[in-house]
Amino acid sequence: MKITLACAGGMSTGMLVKKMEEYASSQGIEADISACGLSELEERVTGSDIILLGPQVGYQQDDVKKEYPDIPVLVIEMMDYGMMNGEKVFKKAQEVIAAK
Amino acid sequence: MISETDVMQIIVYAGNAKSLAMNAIKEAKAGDIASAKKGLEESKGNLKIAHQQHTDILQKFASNPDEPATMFLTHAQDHMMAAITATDFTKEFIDLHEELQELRNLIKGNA
Repeated sequence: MKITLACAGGMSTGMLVKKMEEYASSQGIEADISACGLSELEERVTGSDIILLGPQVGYQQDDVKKEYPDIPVLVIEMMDYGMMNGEKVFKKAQEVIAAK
Repeated sequence: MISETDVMQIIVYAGNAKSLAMNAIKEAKAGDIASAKKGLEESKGNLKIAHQQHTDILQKFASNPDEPATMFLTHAQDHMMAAITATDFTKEFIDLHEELQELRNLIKGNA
């Protein structure tokens, strides 16, 4: 499964990626998780099962949805993001992908 | 010691403030001035929390000169500056849209 995270610059989401990878590997799940800035999304998004947006770019959810109508777009919850809760964010992404 | 979570609080609240401010502009553009103003107030509330967190961190620096500054903290400050600019401009945009609306209504009334 491929998960792409995007925020303004890709830095804070980059930290969350580390936490999500840790959780995925602890569960023995193979996942390709990466982070980028919104401006690079176009080059990175190919093959993604889901796009996760940092809450700070939540206002662009509609635009991203329009741009990639075939990929589910989810805004990460503020609290999960603030606490860098990789496990919870990963599980939510899994749920959305499973429901696709 | 400044923790990653402390710094993250700035990013989260400043980020939320910016998101709310940008949404408020969208609402004003769509004609809903009342909810735009409400959104802006909410945005300012979030910014205030980010600011408080930032002040707390600065005070830690003041009391401990050996406190290491990280790139991540600089990044968080960048988020906060972006949010401050966004909320400032949002107020102006809402005012503009409100005035535009009044003008439109006047023109319609005269037509």
